[in-house]
Amino acid sequence: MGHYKSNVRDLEFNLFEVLKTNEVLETGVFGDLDGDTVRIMLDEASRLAEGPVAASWAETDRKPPTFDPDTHVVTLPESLKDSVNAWTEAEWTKLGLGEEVGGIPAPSTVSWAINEFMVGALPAGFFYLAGPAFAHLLYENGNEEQKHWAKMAVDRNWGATMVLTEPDAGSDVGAGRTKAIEQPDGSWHIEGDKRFITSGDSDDLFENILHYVLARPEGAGPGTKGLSLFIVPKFHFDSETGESGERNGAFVTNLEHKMGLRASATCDLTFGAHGVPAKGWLVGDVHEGIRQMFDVIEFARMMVGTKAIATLSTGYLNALEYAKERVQGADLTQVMDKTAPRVTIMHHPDVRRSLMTQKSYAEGLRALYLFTAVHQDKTAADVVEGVDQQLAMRINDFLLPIVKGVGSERSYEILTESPPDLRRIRLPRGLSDRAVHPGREDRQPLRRHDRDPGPGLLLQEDHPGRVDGDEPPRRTDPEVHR
Amino acid sequence: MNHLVEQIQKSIDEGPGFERERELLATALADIQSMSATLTGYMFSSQEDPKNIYKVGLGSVPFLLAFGDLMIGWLLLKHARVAAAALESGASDIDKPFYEGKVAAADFFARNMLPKLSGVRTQIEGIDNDVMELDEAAF
Repeated sequence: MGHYKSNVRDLEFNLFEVLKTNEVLETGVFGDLDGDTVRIMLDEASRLAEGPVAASWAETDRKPPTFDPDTHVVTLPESLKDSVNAWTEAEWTKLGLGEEVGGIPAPSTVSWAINEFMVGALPAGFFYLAGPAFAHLLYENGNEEQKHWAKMAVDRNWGATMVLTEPDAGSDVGAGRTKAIEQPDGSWHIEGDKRFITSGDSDDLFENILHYVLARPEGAGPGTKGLSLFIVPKFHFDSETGESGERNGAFVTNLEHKMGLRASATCDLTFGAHGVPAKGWLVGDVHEGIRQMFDVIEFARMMVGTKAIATLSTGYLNALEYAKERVQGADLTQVMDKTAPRVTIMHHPDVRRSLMTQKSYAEGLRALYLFTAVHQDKTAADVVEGVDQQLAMRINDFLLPIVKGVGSERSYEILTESPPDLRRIRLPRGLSDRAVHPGREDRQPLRRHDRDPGPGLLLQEDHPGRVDGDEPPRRTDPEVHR
Repeated sequence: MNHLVEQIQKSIDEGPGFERERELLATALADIQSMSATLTGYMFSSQEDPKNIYKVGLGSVPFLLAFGDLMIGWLLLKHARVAAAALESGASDIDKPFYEGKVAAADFFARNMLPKLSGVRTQIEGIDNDVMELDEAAF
């Protein structure tokens, strides 16, 4: 059994017992998708995630992607590619996208429930597979020709990147200096350096990659209002058939060395600096870059939040399993009796407190992201919450930063909880930290540039039952801290 | 936010059952509304003194996390109600523990996490610009 534990029962509870998914599906807005099919989908997708997808987890952390600065190519481990392809072949990436772009209609709650399996089992894999979702957004915002490109991007499973950040423009997106120079044929030449671009290159996973780039047209004003959104493909492609042609002028120039989520290639992406122009096309023929990019940003917020929540959930379930098996120490009521029977750590109050904290946050946060997803479909928002589309969109806008911000912060905090102050709370000696601190068991840093959960986890400073002559507890246990 | 506040209030008012959780949720909601008013007050007062906007910045993350706890407490309560009803109408042997866990989680969260919001409320009420005026060298 791999690292990833799904929670299908809780997802079914949310979808069918709380969020009226059967009623939503019965409206017929989502084709002939019905509740039984959704249950089958949850079952199949969770198995795929727990099996082939999760299988490359450890290896891709220890043997991360590599980069060749001469060829600008990022190379991914074979096992990672196998995991990603397994998810693609099952076509889960098309779920929830409109039929007009080649997707499989489904309520947002259902597609995010399925996504939860992927972002829990192999988050980097999900990031590589953002292409179809971004293409859906290209379809919504694009001109006629771009709508056709969007369909090809889904059909041919192209990769995609969201390209906003520069060395001096992170949170301050409006400070971006990458420029766009209009060409006589209506295309644009993009020039500049972008940083921290997820999936900037992805080995041979995809025939092509569409970079969604924010750049400032020459003469445009300052700030975010002056930015426009351009499609800059990795390879030029035939506008009708999608077949790849010449290499375009967008090249990866650096790969970040990361402490976590190493399987995801985080890149510097340079436009128009290698003797080949980086040709781009203005999305929708309008200069509304930040508004258009916000559709992508909203998807990313939902994704990051769901990923953190999925990680907390699997961390908790692993910790729970361990707590039920691991025998250590006597029950606290008998701890002065050296002959008292040893018990599973599930008997210890601090373990219970910790597990119930993990459970309530994992399930509460899952409820939160699914509640948010309800407001992403006009139909669901109406059937489940009785709100119209306008209000639903505003509620979604309000909740997304909470899903993302609270999801990430709480999940990280709980997964890396420090041991309690044991001058006040007593635990049997030598209690392994793995059950109480699933972050150790699971080792899933939640953000790209996080510190590792740290080498120096303290074991007990004090423990009952200690008598004179006992050796003091060790401050670190090398067996436990890998 | 107003819409959500209304929904939360409805859950608080919906009886019978879960009295203790509802009371704790009511306190948490009042705490959040108070924090929101305090932060809004800081924002408006920045019209007189621009530096008052820093107070909003100092309170943002604590408020965000507190609001998240309110949402979680509310949603878990909704779950617990559904679970309790399922238990009452006779759940299978497999499902019983699942539903009991739902009720337990809502109860645990309400009693262990929601009370902390009152502390955050005090924290936000007490925000001033001392830390903004502190010399960088003192950090």
